[in-house]
Amino acid sequence: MTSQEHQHTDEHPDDSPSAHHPLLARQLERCAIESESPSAEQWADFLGRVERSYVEADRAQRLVEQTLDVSAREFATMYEQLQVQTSHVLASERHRLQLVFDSVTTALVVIERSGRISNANPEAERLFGPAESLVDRSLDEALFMVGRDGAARPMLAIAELDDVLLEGHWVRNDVHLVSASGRALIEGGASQMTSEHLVAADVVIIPFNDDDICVGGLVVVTDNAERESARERLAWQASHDPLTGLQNRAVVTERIELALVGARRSGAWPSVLFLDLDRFKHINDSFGHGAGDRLLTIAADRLMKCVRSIDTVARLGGDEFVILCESAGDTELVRGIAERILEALIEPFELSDEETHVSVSIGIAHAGPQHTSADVLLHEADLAMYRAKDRGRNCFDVADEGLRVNAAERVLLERGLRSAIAKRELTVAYQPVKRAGDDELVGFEALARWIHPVLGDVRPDRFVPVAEETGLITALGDRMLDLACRDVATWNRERLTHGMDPLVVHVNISGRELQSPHLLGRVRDALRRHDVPPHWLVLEMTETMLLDDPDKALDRLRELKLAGIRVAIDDFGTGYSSLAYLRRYPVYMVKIDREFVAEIAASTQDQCIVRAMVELAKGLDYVVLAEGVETGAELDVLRTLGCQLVQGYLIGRPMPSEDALLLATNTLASASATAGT
Amino acid sequence: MVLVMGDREVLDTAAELGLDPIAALAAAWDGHAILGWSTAGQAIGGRVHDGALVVTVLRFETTTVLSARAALRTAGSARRAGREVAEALADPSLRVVFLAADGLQFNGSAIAAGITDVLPDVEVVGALAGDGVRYEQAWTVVEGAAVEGRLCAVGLYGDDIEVAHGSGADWRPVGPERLVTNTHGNVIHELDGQTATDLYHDYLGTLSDELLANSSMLSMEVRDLDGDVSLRTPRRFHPDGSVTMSGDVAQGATARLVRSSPHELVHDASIAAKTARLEDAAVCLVVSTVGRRRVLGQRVEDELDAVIAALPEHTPVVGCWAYGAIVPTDHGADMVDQAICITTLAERASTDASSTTPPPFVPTGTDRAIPSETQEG
Repeated sequence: MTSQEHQHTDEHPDDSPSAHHPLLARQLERCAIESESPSAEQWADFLGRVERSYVEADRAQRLVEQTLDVSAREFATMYEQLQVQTSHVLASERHRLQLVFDSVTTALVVIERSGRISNANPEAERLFGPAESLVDRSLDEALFMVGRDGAARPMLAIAELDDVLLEGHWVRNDVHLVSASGRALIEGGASQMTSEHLVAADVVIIPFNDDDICVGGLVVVTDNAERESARERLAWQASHDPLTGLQNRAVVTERIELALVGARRSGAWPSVLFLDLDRFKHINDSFGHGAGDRLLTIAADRLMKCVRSIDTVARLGGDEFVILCESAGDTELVRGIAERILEALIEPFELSDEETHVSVSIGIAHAGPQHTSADVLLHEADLAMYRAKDRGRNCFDVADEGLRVNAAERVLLERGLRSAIAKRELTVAYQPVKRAGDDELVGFEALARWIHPVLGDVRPDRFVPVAEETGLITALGDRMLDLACRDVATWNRERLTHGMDPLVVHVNISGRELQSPHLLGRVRDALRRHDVPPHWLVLEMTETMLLDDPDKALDRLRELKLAGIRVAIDDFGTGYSSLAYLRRYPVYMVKIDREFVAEIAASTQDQCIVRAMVELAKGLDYVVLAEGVETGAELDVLRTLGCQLVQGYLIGRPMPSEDALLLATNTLASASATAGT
Repeated sequence: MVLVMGDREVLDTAAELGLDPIAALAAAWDGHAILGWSTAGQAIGGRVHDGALVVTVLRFETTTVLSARAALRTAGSARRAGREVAEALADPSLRVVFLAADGLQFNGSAIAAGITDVLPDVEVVGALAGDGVRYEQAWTVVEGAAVEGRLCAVGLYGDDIEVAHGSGADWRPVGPERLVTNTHGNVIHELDGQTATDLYHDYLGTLSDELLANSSMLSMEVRDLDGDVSLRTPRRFHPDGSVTMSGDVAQGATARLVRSSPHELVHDASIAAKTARLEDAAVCLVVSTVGRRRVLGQRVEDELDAVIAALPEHTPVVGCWAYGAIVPTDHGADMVDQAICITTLAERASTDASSTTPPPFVPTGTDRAIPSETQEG
């Protein structure tokens, strides 16, 4: 009922029409009932209207009640569903948070505002002991900080907790924490105290706020053990060789520098030993890199036993080691160490159930006032080591004035070689190659020749390594190929016009050149330039060159073969050729090294070896050439053994190209003469 | 221009007696535009005349009047019907369109959209013809006959016509908001997975015995995806549980049941009338809805009294209870339901202010033209 209706019903209970409920008044009006005695029709109409009003009022009330009931029920159901949903979401959220809490690698301790610990995660238990020692205890009775004085005090006094929580953030870095039991150990004299009890950590306390009211906090303890050990590990890695655990190049270089500085003051000069294992590459190739690593480790242990505690043993990488003997004073002591090392390393090494042997070549450099840096000293020791290797390995050599002169000579050679190539001062000499059976000239080996204005006639075995190291080898090789092609073209032009067999020219190829992908292109250029067919040329390369990178070498040899260029293996028998490799290579010829030929007439053993080599080469369909034939007896034996070609002083010495041309044409002349008769 | 509003049963009863009041009316006003529709009650002044035809004749001095119509069957869709009618009337001088459409067969929203497609800036007012609380047949007047399935319109042309409009619907929410999960046009299949019929059964309880009539007291407030709110009332309950509503309900919209009380509806009416207030109006056309009438019951005339009280004295008022109304809005015509829609109209001849001709509006009560309350069944 509206207020208006109230007014009408409550006031004027008399019969005046204006006092009626507006609806009743309207109904009376509609039925035109004005008199005291309405007609029966009017009365019936009026009652009908009133009746409908009641029905409508009931209907309106029922609608209100029904809609209220149903909506109340619906809202109740929705509320329940919402509650279920909310609790489900909360439970799942709580479960997830618990998982996070349990699995983080940071120790978390939940405290109430009073300081009572209400929860601790597994990491906190790992650091500070079981939950019982933490949960339900007060923070100041559970966690302690160890000061510089060694005393353990509560990490945070409860009196300060309130301020800490209200202020927001409390941070302590690099502190040492202990649990209550840890503190007991400290107070009991700390004899059983270990680093396990002491936790190096960063600590943060973060307050929990509920509607801006602080209800407690979270103590976050980050264990620094990992960080510290990582830091140590990094430092160790920076200064050590990871394989052997020895010091590395950086450390030994720095120590040498320091020792040199100290010696300038004290006069006690250090010495440096440079070590290189002999035939180590062979160990790696034969036994695998694992075995090689194992051998290096054992060798490192043995080295450590040969030196004094003040000496530094370092591995530079590969099979190179350096030993710094500080304040060695007398050289005898250093020689003693070197001798001990030679002895120690000569002992067999047990590698994968097999015994193997290595030896070591050692270069020693004694420092003196002339040594201004570690690099200079190390370089001298390195040179001395190479000289030891040249002397036959498994020995040591000491850097001396001669070595230093050699080093100086090397510089001179390099400089000279560079200008010699530029000025085309390099010439070629030809050594004849003949058939063993009938002494017929079949070709020449081209040998590089260099007359130095100061050093005189410099042998190829001196300047070729220099050329290889300095990258001049390509220019040198090109020059040799060019000269050889030019000359063979000249010879054969003459010979062919007279119906003679063409000669071949042998040119040596260095290891660097063999590895270069441009080799074939360069050879073809030279051939094309002088209009030389490829089968007039034989490239000579050594066995060891092929073995440096067998796969790449195989690729090169195949390219050369496809181009019709033939290849000879020089110094055959001196390397460690594996038959398996050799068989794969498309090789035309092998040259038996002079060291086998030298004793062939006297030693039946060498004869056997050469016989085997000839048989083997023939089996593989190679042509066999023997080098260094100097006597008739040697030649006889070689003929008997079936060697096809020979070369050496007996056959013909290296000669300038003019002479070679004469020889080629003399033969021609005599051949013509013979033909003419 | 002649406006005819009447109950379906009046014509049925007349037919039984061999009478055809619509034809008689058409003959009497041959050559004039007649716009007529069936209702759920009609009124003259503050008085309801049930079981009657109420005829209003409007005479204009300068304004041109043209009529147009379309059939749903031939147009193919309510929107196209709306467009056809609008195109027939379209002219730069068109000012106002009065509409009447079969409120049972036509989707009022679609008609409004069709009209707006063509005449976005013309004032459009109209009624969706009804059938009391029977919801069976609704007619409009077409060439002297009462016909189902038609959309009829009359256009008023010229600069002298003045129109004011106001509408209001104050309904309060009942129960929670629901997601309309399955709907097509103006047919709701499911809300929150429940059929619309089940929802009305739940909320009407024992009042479900007169499901369709009583559901008009429990409308639906629909909030579409743009946030626009409109009221929709059931027009037909289908056996599969779906319900045809008085206008479109978009898929994904939210819907909430609403109800009202006589007091609130009277308040609406008063507010709406104040907005539509026009001095010296020739006529005031009130289009209320069947749902409001159901809520008001015996107090239905309270709504009219409130309108009359809010308008200038002596403003002639005629009205009806329909199945919805078409009203002008800021974005063209729109269908509203459960609202009271009040339109006042005046013709102000700019040339002759001192004219002695009688006012163009002649309300027909008891003295003229078609008998109003004489044809009771």
